[in-house]
Amino acid sequence: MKLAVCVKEVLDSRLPLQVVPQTGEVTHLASARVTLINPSDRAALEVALMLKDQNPDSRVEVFSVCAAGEDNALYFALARGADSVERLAPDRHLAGPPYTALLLASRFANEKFDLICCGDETLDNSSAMVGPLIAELLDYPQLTGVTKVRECSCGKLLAERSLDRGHRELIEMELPGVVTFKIEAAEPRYVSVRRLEQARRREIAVRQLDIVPSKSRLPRWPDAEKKVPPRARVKRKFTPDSNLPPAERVKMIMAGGVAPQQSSQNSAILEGDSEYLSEQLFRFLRHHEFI
Amino acid sequence: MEQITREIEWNVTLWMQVFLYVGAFAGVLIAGWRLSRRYHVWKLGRSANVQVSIPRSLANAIAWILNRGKMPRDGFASLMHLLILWGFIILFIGTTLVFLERQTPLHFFYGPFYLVASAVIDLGGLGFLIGLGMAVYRRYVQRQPRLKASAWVGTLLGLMIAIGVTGFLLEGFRISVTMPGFEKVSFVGYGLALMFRAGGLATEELTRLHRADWLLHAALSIAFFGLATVYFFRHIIVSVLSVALRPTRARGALRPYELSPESNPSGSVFDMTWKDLLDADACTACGRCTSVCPATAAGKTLDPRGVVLKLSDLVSRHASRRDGTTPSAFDTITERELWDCTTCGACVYECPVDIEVFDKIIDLRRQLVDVGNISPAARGCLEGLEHRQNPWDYPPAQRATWSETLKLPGIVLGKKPEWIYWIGCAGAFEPSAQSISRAMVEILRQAKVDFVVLGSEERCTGDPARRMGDEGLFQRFRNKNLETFRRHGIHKIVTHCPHCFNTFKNEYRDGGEPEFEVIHHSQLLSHLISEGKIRLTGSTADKQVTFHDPCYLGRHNGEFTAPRTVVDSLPGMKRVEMPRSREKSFCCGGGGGQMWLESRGQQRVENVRLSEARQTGASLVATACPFCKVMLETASVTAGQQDQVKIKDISELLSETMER
Repeated sequence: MKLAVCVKEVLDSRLPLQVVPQTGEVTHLASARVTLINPSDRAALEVALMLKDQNPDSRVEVFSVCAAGEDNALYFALARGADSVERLAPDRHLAGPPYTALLLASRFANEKFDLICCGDETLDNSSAMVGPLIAELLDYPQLTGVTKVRECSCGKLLAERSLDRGHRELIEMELPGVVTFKIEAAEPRYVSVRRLEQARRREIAVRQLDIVPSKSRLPRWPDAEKKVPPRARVKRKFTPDSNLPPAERVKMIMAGGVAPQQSSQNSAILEGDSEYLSEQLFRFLRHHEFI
Repeated sequence: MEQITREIEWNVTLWMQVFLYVGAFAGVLIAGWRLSRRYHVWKLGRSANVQVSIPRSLANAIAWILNRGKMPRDGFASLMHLLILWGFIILFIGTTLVFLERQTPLHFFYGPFYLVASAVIDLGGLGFLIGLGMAVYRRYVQRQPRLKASAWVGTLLGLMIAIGVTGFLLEGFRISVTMPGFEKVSFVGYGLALMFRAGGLATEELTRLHRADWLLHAALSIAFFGLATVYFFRHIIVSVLSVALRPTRARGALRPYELSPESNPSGSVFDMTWKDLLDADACTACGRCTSVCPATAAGKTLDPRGVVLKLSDLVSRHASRRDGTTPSAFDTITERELWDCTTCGACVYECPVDIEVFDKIIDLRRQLVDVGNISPAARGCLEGLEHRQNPWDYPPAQRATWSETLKLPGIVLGKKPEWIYWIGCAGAFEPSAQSISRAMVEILRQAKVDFVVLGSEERCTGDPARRMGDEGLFQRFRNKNLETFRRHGIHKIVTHCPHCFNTFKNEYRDGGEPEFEVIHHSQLLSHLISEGKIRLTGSTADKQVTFHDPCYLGRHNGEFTAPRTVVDSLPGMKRVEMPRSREKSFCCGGGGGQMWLESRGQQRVENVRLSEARQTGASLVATACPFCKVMLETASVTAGQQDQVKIKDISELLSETMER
C-alpha cells in the first residue's frame, strides 16, 4: 500500500507570538522562530506509520508545500521514519490553502497513492480546506476529522469520527481516498534530537510544479483588504451559576456557557452500598450523556 | 633423626595419578573454553569508552583482592569472603607446592619449611571452612532477604565444603597411618588422626579409606574447576575483571552514548557495550543494589539486580541459540522498570564489584528514546526541553518573571563580575523553588558578593534530557551554554541546584580541563559564614532539624560537610541525622527525570523518605536542592503533615536568621 502524508511547518503557538504591523507577518516575540510540525499533521503521519508497521510492504511518502527554509516538518517526518519526503515549491504570489491543495492534488494525479493522509487543520490558518480540496480535485472519497483508524485493508478503510457529546460514528471508505485526522487520532512518538540531526544530514527532494490555478475549479482565497489590530477589551471569564447543581454546571462549562438553564430537580443525595451507588452514578452519567 | 617431610602421593597408584592430572587438565580446559565463549559474546557488544590501562587495572584488582574495596561496609560478609578467598588461595598455593616438589627437580618440602607450610595450609583450610560455614549461616539460617535462594549457590557452597572436609580427612588418614610427632603442626589433620586411632581403625582400613577419600577429593576439585565459569560461579573470575576495569570518570558524570551518529540501535541485546555485558557476568547476585534502591523500597517494578541478571541471562540465551537470532534487551527488561530509576546512584555506590548499574538503565532508556517509544509525560518533558529550553514546558520568556521586583544585576558589556548566579529552571519556574532563589539573592546582597544573573539567557543544563535518554538534546544544551559562557567570559558560577552543579562540574568538560569553576551554594554559604560576611542572629528556641542529602550533591559529588556546616551554624537549631544519611542517603524520588514523570507503584519515594525524616523527631527538614524540596514538600502535603513538618533549603534558613 502506498501512503501519502501532507504536512506543514507551523510556529510554536505556546511561545508568545506577535504580528509585525508593517508586513502582517506573524513571528515569535523576543525569541528566534521555533517551528513544529503541525500537530494534526503529526497525528496523520503517525497513523500512516502505524499502518506501515502493520503492513511492512507499505511505503509512506511525505509532502509539504513550502518555501526552502520552511521544511522543518519534512525533516521531522524523515526523522520519524517516513520512507521519502518531497518539498513542492510554491509560487510565492499564489499562496493560500486552495493553491496548496491544487499543487498537492496535481502531484497525486501523477502518481497514485492508496491513502492520502492530512491533518484536519493547521495551527495557523485553521482553514481545514486542504484535505477536502485534494479529494475534490482528484475526485476521491474523503473522510474528515477522523479520530481513529480501526482497520485498513483490502482497499477499504474503517475509521471512527467523534461527534458531539461523546458520540462516535464508524465509517467505511473505499480506497483510494483522502482522510484528514484530528490530533487525538494517534499518540505521537518522540523523535530524538539524534534522529533529527541524522535527518538533517539528508537531502530533501524538491519538485517544481508549474501550475496556474484555474479559477473556475478553485474557491477564491480572499486577500485581506485591511488588517485590523485587536480592540482592547475587558477579559471576561465564564463562570457557571453556583446555584445550579454540579451536573448542570459541568454541562454549562462543557458547552462554553451556552447551555440552557434547567430546573434543578436532577440532583439528589443517594445512600447505599458501593455497588448500588456506582450503578446509580453510571446511569446518571449515561443519562446525561457524559459517557 | 627422623626426616621432617612426607612422601608425596603416598598410597597413590599410577592410575589415580593419571585420573587426577587428566581430570584437572580437562576441568581447566572446560572452564577456559566456557570463559572464552563468554569473551566472544562480550565482544559482540558495542565498543565502550573504556581506556584500559594495565597498571591501573592491576592495582584495582590487587587492592580489591586484598579486600580494600567496598566489601568491608558489610562486616560479616566481608569477613566471610576474606576467609573463603584467602583460605582458597592458601590451599591452592599449598597444592601447587606439593606439585612442584613432586614433578620438578626442585626439592624444598622438608624441615622447617615443611612445618611452617603445613601449619599455614591447615590454618587456611580451617579459615576456608569457617568462611563457608558463615555463608551457610547467612543464607540458610539467617536467611537475609536480599540474598536470592538458588540451587546453583547451594551447589557451589556444598562443593566447596566437601572439598575442604575431604581435604582434612585425607590429611587425617595419612597421618594416622604413621603418626609422626612433628605432624602436630598440621593441627586439624593430627586431631583427626588421633580420633581415627581412638576409634580403633586398623592401619589397613585407614589406608583403604585414604585411597577412597583421595579419589573423592580429586573428583570434587576437578568438578570445581570444571564449573568455575558456569552461571553463578563465573563471578569468581569475572568480577575481578569488572573491578579492574572500573570507570575512571567522575561519579556524577554519565557516560556518553556509544553509538555512532549514523547507526541506529538494532534492537538486540548487543546494543549494550561489551563492558555492560562483562559487568552482567560479574554480578554476584548479592542484592546490595536492590537493598538500597529507592524505587524498589517504594514498591515499584525496578529491581536493579534483576536488570543486571536479566542482561546476563539474555547473553546466555544468545550463546545457546543456534539460529543466529539475537534476543533484545526488551524481551525481559520492561520499559516500566527502566523509567522507575531516579539515577540516585545508590546501586553503583553499593556494588562490591563496581558494576555500573544505573548507567545500563540510562543506556536502555536511550534506546527507547531513540525509537520514540516513551510515555506521553516523558515526551512532553523532552519536547518542552527541545522547544522551550526547560523541562516544565514554560515559555522561556517567563524565565525572569520571578525576579522582576528584585531588579537583579544582569551582564553589563565590558564589566566582568566575579560570580554568575545560575538560577536553573526549578529556581525560575517552580514556585516553591523560587523562594530559594529569592533567599539566595538576599544573602548574596547582604554579603556584598559581586554577582550577576543571566536572566532569559539561561537555559536548561541538559541534566534531565541526558538522564531521560536524549543524549543529542543534552549535547545541544551543553554546546549552547558553553557558547553563552564563552561569549560573556564567565569563569565562576554558583548555583543552588545540585543537578545543574553536577552537570556543569562533571559533564561539561568532556574529559578535558574545565572551562569554568562551579560551586554549589552550600559551599559558598559555608565560606561566607566562616569568613564572617554573614552574621546570624535569632531565637534560641531549640528546634530539631534533620538534613536530607541531595544525591547529586552528596553521593555523586562527595559534598557532605558544607551544607551541614551551614545547618550547624544556624542559631537555635539542633541537627539530628536520619538513619540513612551522607553516602547512604535515600533519594527524594525527583532525580533522573522523575520530577516530570508519573509515579507508579505502591508508594512514592518521597513519602518513604519523609516518614524517615519524621522518625527522627525533627519538625524541620533542611535540604540543599530545589528538587528535594519540591518532592518532600509534596510528600508532606499528600501525607497531610504540612503543618507538622517544614521543608526548607539551607539558603532559606540562612536568610531567615541572617543579621541584616
